[in-house]
Amino acid sequence: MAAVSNPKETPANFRDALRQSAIPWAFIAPSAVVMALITLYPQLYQVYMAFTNMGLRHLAPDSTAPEIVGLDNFIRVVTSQLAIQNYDFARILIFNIVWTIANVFMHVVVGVMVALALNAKGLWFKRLYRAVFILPWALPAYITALVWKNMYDPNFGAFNLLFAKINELLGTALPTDTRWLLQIPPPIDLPGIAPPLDLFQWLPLAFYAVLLANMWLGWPFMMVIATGALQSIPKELYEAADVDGASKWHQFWAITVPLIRPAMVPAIMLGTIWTFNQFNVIYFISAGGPLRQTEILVTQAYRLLQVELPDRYGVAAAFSMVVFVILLINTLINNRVTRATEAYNE
Amino acid sequence: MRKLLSILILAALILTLLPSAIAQDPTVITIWHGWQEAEAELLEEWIDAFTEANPEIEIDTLYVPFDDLQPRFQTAASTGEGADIIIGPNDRLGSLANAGLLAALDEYIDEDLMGQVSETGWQAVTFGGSIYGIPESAKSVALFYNIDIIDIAPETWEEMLEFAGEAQGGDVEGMTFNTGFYQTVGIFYALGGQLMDDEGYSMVTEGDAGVQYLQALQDVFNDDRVLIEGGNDLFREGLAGMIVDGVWNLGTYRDQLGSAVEVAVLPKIGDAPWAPFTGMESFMFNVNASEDVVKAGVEFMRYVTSVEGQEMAVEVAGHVPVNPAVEPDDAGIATFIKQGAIGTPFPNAPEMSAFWEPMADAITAVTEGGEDPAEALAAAAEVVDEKIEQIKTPVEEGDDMAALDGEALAKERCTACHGWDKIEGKAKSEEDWTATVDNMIEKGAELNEDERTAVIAYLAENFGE
Repeated sequence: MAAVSNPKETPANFRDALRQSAIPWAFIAPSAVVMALITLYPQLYQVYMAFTNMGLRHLAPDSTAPEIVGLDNFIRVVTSQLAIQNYDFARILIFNIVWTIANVFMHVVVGVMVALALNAKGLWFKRLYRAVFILPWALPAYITALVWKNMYDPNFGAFNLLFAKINELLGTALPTDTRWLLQIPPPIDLPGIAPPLDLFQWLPLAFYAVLLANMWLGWPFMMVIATGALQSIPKELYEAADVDGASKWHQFWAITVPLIRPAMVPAIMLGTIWTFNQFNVIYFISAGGPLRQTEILVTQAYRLLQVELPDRYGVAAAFSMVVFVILLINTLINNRVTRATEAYNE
Repeated sequence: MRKLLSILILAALILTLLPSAIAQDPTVITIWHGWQEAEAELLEEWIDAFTEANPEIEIDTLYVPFDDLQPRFQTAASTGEGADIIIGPNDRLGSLANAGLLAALDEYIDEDLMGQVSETGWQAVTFGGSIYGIPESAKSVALFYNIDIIDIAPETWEEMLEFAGEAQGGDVEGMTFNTGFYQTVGIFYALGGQLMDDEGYSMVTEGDAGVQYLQALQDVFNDDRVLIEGGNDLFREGLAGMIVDGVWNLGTYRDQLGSAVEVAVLPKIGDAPWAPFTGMESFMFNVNASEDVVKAGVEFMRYVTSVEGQEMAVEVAGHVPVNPAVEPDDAGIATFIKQGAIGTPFPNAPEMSAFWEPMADAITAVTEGGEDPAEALAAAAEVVDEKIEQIKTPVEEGDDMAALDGEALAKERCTACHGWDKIEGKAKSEEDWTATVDNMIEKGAELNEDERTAVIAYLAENFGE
């Protein structure tokens, strides 16, 4: 009790310290043990696997232990020396970054726009809209992904059928046999420039298809955050701006944007990590196709477990650790940025 | 009163528990399969009929999507788990047996059972001299057509495209064409192609067949007369005239379309027959299954391959029987038997697994991507060989060598004829030891190639110069 009443008092020795904190330790112990077993141990084991040639043949109870191969797996992963077709680490990484930036940008733009519209004075059924617009976010991403996949079917998908109906009714000539997820030639191709400078050559139609699907999934979250931030902006600021003769456009950039920024920046950071690892949308809609052109790091990691590599577990573990390092860097940058915003807030 | 009640309840309890205590624990067999609709129905009917006659055996089934079945079994069996039996085509058998995941069944198969399956059936499930599965039916693709849309079956590739074009109209498609490797590999064989050499390495780039094959697929992809990858729903709904599909869908198509479905041998490519893979749908046993379970499973297969079981397969799912005593009078199945005879036996070499993805990618590249067939093919062949290299290495160099104990072998085999003193104290180079061991093998020492290497390595290391 003494420690509680006077937290700054340092106990005489370690044993005293332990005795004083015995009850908190006892409370923490069960969950700590469970966490160590189901989270910490597998993670450490994965680190070990990344340095071995572990494969299927090492799983049997009476098999020999896998051999330590040092950094070999990491080198093979990063320099694309795996016997898997169309595997190119640099391309996957760049694609993954493009995918993340494109998505988060669209989420924020659409989310803020809808939030502004819903914040307009005198709009009817505001609450209904807010409830309905959250639906995409509330549905399991897996279900959404399967629905979108069906909509992109070249023969029976909603998009092509819709275009056919429009053609029928309006006499237009929209294409009705687009192979959304299968077509390989990139729809946007800047002449005379080769990738990686012309990123568009790496983006098949399937990329825009999964982008659209993930946009549909992602904007409601940004809308919710933006709505909350918008409602906390004092009306007086706009009134004062009106008196000063500022245009609506000016008001948006001078008042709305700076004041919703503290709320939006952490949401954007969160969105970045979610999108970077958006397994469901890629895996269930395009499955990384065509020819693995829409594979991102996490879907590739999953696929590594299924290929016929004799040391697949070692390679997959090394791959995951590389992904971990990339995400760690991402998170460290995020922390930096978000802390900067906190300072701005004060 | 209360006492009486307690006694009654206790008696009731004992009575309910008694039968299960007396009755033997049933032998439980688990089967993983990728069968759907008519085929799943067939499996249930077999099990019902079999377990009724053999109440001491219980059979549990689990549906696993076809593409997941092998990887999942592979992982599970490697850790000492997994289903006791999996059902699948024999092309998987080689790689599973090679990985030591399948039980060799030779000792369980008696003459009766041997006679219930055709010679070609047993050949398809024999790998490295042992039997690793029991065939249930022959599987291949053939041409399904709907007589309401297509009057007569096309005889040639050109005719097929022509008929498809003529039948197009409104909601109806003349043909839905699947460009998958499995569905179209028969064209490659018709053009004179060969997939792999004796060692399993790719031969697709030898000669012109590979390029011509991919060119044909590119042409058909750009041909407006056929619908690409329309899936089999369209045919099932009666909205497509033709489809190249497997015998496993015969039952399902008939359920939907009745007598409008006809089956024809695949059209000729030039003068040569379109020769699809002819595989054996086989029941393969997990190496971890207990002896009782394997015995019970073999009994189940005795029923499945019996005349009764095979007739049931013909009737319910339209399967092509493996039992030579069953002669189906069904025209569709007769066509599949004819198609199987001109097909290409499905290779069960473990290297086969290295071909699927690269070839599928080559097809995607030339169709969707419009790439040059020769380039796509060369790229595929390169990956295939690289994969095969990786499949072979660990088995040959890693585990087997480590598993062989040179010392134990030397102490056992050499001393069969002479004392250990002939070896102890000697100091020879590896070359000399090799000569000595070879000399001994000539004199009758029993050592196979790997054992010989292990013994020489041991001797040279411990009794070197």
